[in-house]
Amino acid sequence: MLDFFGRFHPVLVHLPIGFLILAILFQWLGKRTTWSYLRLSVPVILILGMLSALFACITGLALSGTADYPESLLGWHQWMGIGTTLLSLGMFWAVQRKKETATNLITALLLAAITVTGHMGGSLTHGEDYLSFGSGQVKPTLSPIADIQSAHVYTDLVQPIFEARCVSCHGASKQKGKLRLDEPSFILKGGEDGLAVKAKDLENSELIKRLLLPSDAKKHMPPISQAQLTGTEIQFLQWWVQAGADFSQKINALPQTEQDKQMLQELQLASQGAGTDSAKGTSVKKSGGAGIAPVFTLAASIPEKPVQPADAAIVHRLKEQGVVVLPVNRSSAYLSVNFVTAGKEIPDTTIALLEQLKPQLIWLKMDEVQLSAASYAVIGKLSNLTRLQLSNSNLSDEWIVNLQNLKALHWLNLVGSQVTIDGLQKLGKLPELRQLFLYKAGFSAADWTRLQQAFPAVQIDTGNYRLPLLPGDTSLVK
Amino acid sequence: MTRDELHAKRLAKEAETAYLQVHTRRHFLKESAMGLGALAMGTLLGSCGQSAIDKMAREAANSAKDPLQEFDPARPLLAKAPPFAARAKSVIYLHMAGAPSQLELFDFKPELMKMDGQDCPPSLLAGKQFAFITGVPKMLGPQASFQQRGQSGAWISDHLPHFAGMADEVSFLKAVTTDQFNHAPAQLLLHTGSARLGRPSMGSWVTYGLGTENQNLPGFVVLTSGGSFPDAGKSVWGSGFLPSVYQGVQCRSEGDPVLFIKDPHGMSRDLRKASIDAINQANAASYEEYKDPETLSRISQYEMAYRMQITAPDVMNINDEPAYIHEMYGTKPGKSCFANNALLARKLVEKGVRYVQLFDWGWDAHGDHAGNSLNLGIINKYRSVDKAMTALLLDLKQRGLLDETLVVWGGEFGRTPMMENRNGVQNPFKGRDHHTDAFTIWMAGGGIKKGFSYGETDEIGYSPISGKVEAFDIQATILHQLGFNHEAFTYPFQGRPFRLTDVGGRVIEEIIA
Repeated sequence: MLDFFGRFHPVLVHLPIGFLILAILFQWLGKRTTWSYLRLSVPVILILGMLSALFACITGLALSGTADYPESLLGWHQWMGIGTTLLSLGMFWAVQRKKETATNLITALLLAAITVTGHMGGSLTHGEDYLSFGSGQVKPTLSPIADIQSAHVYTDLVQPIFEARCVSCHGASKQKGKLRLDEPSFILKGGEDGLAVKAKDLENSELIKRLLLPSDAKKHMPPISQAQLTGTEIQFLQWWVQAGADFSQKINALPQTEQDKQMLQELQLASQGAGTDSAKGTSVKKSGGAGIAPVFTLAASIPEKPVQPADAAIVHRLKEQGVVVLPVNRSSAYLSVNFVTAGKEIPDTTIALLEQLKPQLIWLKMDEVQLSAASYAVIGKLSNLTRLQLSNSNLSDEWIVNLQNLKALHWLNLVGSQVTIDGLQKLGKLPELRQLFLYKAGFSAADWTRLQQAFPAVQIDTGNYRLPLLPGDTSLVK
Repeated sequence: MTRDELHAKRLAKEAETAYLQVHTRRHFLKESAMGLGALAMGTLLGSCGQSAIDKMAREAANSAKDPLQEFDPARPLLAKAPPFAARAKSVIYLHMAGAPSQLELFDFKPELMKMDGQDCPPSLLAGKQFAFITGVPKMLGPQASFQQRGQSGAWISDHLPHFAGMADEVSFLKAVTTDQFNHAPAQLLLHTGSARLGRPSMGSWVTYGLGTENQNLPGFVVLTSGGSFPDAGKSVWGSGFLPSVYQGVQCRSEGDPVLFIKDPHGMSRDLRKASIDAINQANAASYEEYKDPETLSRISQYEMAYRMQITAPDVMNINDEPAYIHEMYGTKPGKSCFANNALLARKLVEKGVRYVQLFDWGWDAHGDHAGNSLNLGIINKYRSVDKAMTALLLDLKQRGLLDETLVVWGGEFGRTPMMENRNGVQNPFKGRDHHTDAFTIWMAGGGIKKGFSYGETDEIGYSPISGKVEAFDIQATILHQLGFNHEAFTYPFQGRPFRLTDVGGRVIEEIIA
């Protein structure tokens, strides 16, 4: 309840600022005889100013308890606010009693008090360096690095990234979430949601988790309104934590895989401003560069090992049920099975036939099917499957455990099923899995980190793509 | 079955058809009052030929005992396995009929900007023939601003702000050429492999070779938008010398997808079934008598039409899609437009349709009036396809369909770097003439590289300097992705095997992942 009222403070504060400055202005302008009529309205404006200042103080006090603002600044802002309210009362008194000298003095004081209090309030919300020249531009993260391998991991890389992207809210002046990222000791201490950085443990490093959340998630950091870290910077921080969250070594002293080396090289290029060249457009970058998702083809999901031809009688019986059974190509005995014309409610007896095609069956496509627990158990035995589509099916968390023995799976399509992150975690390791489709399944943005951790080497597509409506999308050029 | 056996079988089939044509003519003579003299001879010839063909048919039936390799002449669209390992199962071909300008969309030429307004150098005109340009035209700089997009750094102009985000999903072919500078022959060449009428279209070849997995829907669907058919007319999705069951089924994106798909008032489903059965019985009897393979096509089309009455309205109805999908594509429900067709294309491919061909008319940017001017009317064309084609790629991707669906986008030729001067007089609006030497086509999904570009044109986008490809190469590549060797995929006709790529075609290995 108190929280709720507190949230009106940022709106209400603008009323006393406006009213009181107007009252002071009218009071001063009214000194000229041609504008003396302005003074008639001063008491009314003052009363409005005083009342709104009072409400601003009350909501301000309510707000102060709910978030972590720097205490000294908050204290000053609080007392200056109360002072401003009292001064407005004083001005009312002086104006009503027509005490010219006292009025002049109090209006001057009041104007100063409003300005200072307002600025402090602004500093509390937007950070202390908000009102300075050059603000509004995105600060470059890294100063140019000539040779990244001999750079210092903390002072040359981690610290500048934190300084540029985090410290305005997690620093000396402001400690949102009780977290400071401006010094190694504070970084290791963490914030109110736990450790920001836990050496060699990405899963328990809150900082990494927040960075990896989709940008529209509530807990994503930095907040979407602020400048974001680049993909390479995030990869770098992940590597840094994985390598032990060290504060003293040079880069070349830390363990690196080939991928890490490439990532570091990109970071070096970015620091030298290579990343912005493309906008000027002088040279075409090499096609098919890093950062483009690899392509997994249908052809690559056919095993090389030959297999005996399938039992023709079983194939025939499946075809009678409207199931499409085909070799994956004319020189292969491996089979592709598609239930597209077999209806929605598939009887257990039909699915049971699949088990007899187990050695040959590698691609199984079942869209919009309703199966029983027993049928899912049968599918779980088809251990040669490389591509499995159970989109829009009734597959749930309870039944997905059946799929954990499908160790050959490359491609798993669970679009529109009822599976959630809890079910997927039960799947365990599927060593060959490369692509996972989860659009319209039971996932929310908050599951993203857990998903990535459960399937680190997998291209996960949760879909839900949106395209903004651009002005030209509807207008007609005549 | 070896290739020779297959060939022998096809030759036998052609002999049978030729024989039956004779037989049918004799039958006409028999039926007419004047044909009495021919009657005896006809029956005589008929009976001895008949038994030989029956024997051949029986042998063919025996060799196809394997239920996985069977070919049922009454169900010619049954799915067949591709000859080789495929990288795509379906194709969506987005054809911008009239030919969009590569110089305003993908082929960024800053040098051309410097030459804007200057007379065209004679070296570019010597020995060339254009559709409209005569005399010495002026050069015309790019009517667009360009940026490099994505990790791949592909140049995409600001005319396609949505598609710009797809740079890392597609492969561009920047140096496509053709030898036809008029719309209809160029479209025919691209889709049928010949600039003249009479060849089967690519979709017909594909459905002939692969059939389709969903027997309740056509295997090859055509959707048009833009207010007009492509200049090549329906031949561009015709079946040529292939049985007519393989021709493209043109569906409407407005109103009922197929005209008269609903039973008329008062006709029950049972009555419909009974009447179709009766017609098919009559047709079967006719087939027994005349052995015309087109009769089988007719029987299977009646049966498919009956099944389609149930499935097609469902699949073809985009109104059931959620509002956010409509917003993503930018559809106009109830109207006929490219966005509706793009959404429909996804729904069809999702249900197993093999080949979906979209034609969007109105890209012919001559600049002889405001409606086809590069910086007026044509901008509306860019805007009308940009969101929908981007949405199509994203929607296929999120459903896991992009891996197995090959999406192709392009026109039938390109546009000149010169401003059009029709009959030697500068056109009133900014426009470009037809250009055969260089244009851009992109492909995505279906085992094609992501974020890649192949081929380059010279400084003004006039001629290819590397990576030149032609229509046959595009066709060979599409067939390759579907699991065909385009040189071995033939159909016997008029005494020789025909193929889609005629005597040309090279699979563009460079863009294959």
